[in-house]
Amino acid sequence: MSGIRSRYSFVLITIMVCAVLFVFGEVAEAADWPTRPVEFVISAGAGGGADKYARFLVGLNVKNKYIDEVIIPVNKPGGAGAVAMQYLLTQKGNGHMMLITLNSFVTTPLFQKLPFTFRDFTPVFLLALDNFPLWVQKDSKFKTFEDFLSEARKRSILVGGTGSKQEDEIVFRAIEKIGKTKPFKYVPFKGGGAVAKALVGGHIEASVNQVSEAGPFYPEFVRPLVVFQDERLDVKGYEDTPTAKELGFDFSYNMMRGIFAPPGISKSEQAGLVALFKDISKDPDWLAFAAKTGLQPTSITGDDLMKFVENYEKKHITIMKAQGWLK
Amino acid sequence: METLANLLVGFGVAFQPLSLFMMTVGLLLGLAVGVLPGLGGTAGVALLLPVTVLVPPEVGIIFLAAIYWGALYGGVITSILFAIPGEPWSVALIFDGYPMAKQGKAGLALAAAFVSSFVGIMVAAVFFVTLAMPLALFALKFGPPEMFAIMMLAFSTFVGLGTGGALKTLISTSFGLLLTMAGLDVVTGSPRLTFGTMAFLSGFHFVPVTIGLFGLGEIMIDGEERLSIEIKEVIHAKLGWEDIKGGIMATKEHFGLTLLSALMGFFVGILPGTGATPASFLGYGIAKQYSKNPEKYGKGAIEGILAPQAAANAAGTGALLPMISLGIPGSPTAAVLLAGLYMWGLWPGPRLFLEEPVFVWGLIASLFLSGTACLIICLIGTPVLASIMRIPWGLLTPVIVIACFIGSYVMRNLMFDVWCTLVFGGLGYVMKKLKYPLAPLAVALVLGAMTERFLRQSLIIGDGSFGIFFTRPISAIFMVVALFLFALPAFKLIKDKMKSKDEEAPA
Amino acid sequence: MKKGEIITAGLFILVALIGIMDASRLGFGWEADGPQAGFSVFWLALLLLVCAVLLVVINLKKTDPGDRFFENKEGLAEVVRIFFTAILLAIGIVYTGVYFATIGYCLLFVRWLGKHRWATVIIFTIIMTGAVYFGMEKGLKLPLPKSLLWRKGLFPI
Repeated sequence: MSGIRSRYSFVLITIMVCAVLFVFGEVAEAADWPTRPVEFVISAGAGGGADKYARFLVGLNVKNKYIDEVIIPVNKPGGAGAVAMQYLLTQKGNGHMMLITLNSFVTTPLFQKLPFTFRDFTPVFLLALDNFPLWVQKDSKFKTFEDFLSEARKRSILVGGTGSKQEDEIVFRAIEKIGKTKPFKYVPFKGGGAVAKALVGGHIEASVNQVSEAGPFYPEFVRPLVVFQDERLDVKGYEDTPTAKELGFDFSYNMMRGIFAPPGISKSEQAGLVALFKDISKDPDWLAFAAKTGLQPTSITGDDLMKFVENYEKKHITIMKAQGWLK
Repeated sequence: METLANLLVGFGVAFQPLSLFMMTVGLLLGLAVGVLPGLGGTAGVALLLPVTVLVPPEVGIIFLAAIYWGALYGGVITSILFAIPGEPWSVALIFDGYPMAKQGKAGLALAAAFVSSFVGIMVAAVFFVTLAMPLALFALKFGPPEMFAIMMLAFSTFVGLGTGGALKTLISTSFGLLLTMAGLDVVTGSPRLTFGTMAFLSGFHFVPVTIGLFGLGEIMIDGEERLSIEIKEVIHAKLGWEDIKGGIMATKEHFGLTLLSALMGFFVGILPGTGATPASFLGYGIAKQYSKNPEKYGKGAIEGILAPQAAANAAGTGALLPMISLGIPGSPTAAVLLAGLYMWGLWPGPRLFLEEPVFVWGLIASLFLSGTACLIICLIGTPVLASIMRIPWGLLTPVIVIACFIGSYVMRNLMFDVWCTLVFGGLGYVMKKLKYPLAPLAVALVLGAMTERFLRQSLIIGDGSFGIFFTRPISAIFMVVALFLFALPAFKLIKDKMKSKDEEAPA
Repeated sequence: MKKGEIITAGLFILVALIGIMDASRLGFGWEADGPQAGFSVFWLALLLLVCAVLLVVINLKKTDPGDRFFENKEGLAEVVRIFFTAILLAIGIVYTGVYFATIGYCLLFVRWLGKHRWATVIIFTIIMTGAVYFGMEKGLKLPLPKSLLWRKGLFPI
């Protein structure tokens, strides 16, 4: 009787010891990072463009526990990203914080003449490059990109996009310049959703929404004419959408979906952040989402990321100078 | 018939034990979030969105939607009790709800708000079931010019609102509009009224400003009255089922108005990018315009609770319709829910209805269930809520002040917003004492930014000419009605003058 | 009341002038595709200016000073106390974080303005701070501003 009991207690104790070791082992392993919840700063309000991505990524961590601490999304909207960037700079050395960035990460400091640039931040990861197809209504008279261009040379076409002097307008102004068209009548909207809705409703003639925004309405309401990137979209249903370069129109532009951290964080904190996003970049749900929305998944980190963004800055300076937005 | 079968499938989903459990949890969370100023339903849904990956999508959306309904109901509580808008769309509830609470009729005001919320949600739910697709397609016809016309209509219904004379009303309105212009200009991208500071770059958000103007301002008024006026024995309204019965009776008595507001609200809600807030103001404005004795408004008229609340909840529900049927978010909350769809591997868009019937109809069925469940929870809670007013002043006030500040902060995580609440609290107190009408200021603050955006978008489309508002049929109709309402006080004035002259003549 | 009216109107005049100044920097004309950035700012500021100036004129012409702004001294003192403690709370949030500020504010307000017994004051402060911490930080996972000690990793709030 007692033999059985002692055997049971032996097993029980073994299990408990193992559990304790396991728990503490885990803690010991993860001791350097993170030690508290990680703040995920979003430069848009709840429901805005970058917000959707950020919350999606947070959901992946809830599901698969890439890090043991929670990731807390914190919205800091305003000033086309300036407010969020400024906030990160005040949190120098805080390794439990990261920012999801768009191209405004490069353009906002330039255009608004802010006292900082992207170089002040710690690079973490470039998750993906997002696309800019040119969309028109389903029954639009523009059948091809050439149709669109030749009409645009005759009259000012009414187009729309997110914000002013940000990504969408940059694309249209570049088309203007390269295609030698008349200036577009550009209507700024508050967000990608509003732009897509205006296009579906016929209030504008064309937009450069991402596939993740306008895709749900293709083919019922809208269709893509061309995509402004080096390779065709690797998405079912978009195989026949040509790239601009194929049509002899030398313009390629992408949206960076990147992650940056405040300045002055420790090497181990930076490594922890990079490891987190390395895991996320291999997540099957993320890859499925990327495949559906035509994102090109990337995994650029560290100095390579800085170089990548520097190239982006050069490109933007050229475009913005040509527009007279920069002197 | 097919609709009915689908709805039955939906109820099958919604009545699953897990769904019912998550729904109840969601409703209670939503009520809590709604009560806290600054933390809206949008924030609540966004906060809990990542957690829903742990349950099946159809349960996840029922949970999130329940948070949203809870917030729609819960936002009114602090508006009525403390003049602090728990949600943007409950700002209009302050105008008459707070006076009622001061008269000792807090319980009745709350009950009326809850019952009219229920009417709003049910009206919207019925439309959801029957006409989702055609309505969503119709809403697409509303571009910037149409939206601007609707904004004008909302402003026009507020002409002559409140006391204080024309001069002070104009000051209130133009000051409110001016405030909304700070920040990055949406059309040119250049910073306006920021003076090179980072703080002003975020602009004034109306939530911290209204929390200050009304909430903090009222606290100071209260503090002063407490000492200077001999406090009349606070009318201890019978806490109990009387109020609930009264709320139901009031809704019954004004059922036409409530229903009309709900219909109007639902329609405004499905329009893109507006959400429930303009709808609640329109509801209030229309109720006042058609009232036989508009002078009651602002002093505790029960219609001033029923109409905006029915409109707000119908609009809040309606805002989900374009998202579900077309994949277009009608409000920020809908946009957050849309992010949820991606997370669950669903693809929003016109095909969602066909490809994921269980998901869509489960959500629609949960509308009916959540709306009813929330009404019951709230009505049971009404006596308890009304008795909050009995907490001693010295304990209740710090709770309110701290809630005001934290609520302002969490909205955008900016300390600037806390300072706004403080400064506008002082201003609100002074303006109230000098009898400046605050309602036009609130309306201007809430609708100003939207209105300017729609105006300037329209002008780009229309090559800088105002003709665009009158050449498009839908916007032309709204504009004409709005202009008529703007001119109405002038007509009245002339008529009154003529009358008084007639009367003088024989003498 | 008369003085109060004029001072408040003066405040609005100031706001209006600032608005007009910024509008002239932005340009308030009409371009081919609509108004310039300062257009709405300028006209609204002008409207505000005109109304506020009219209000000042009307009040200056008034001979009757009207009711007093504050009916008695106690009322004024109480309003000042409420506003002053609120300012302290806001400053406290900036320098010591929400939690320490809440503790300080509750102690101050409930004792000084509320005139409750110390036992009530302390129990109330504990409940209030705990409710904010567990409700926001733990329950809803909303990070609120915290103290310097927290930034240094020395203290949980």
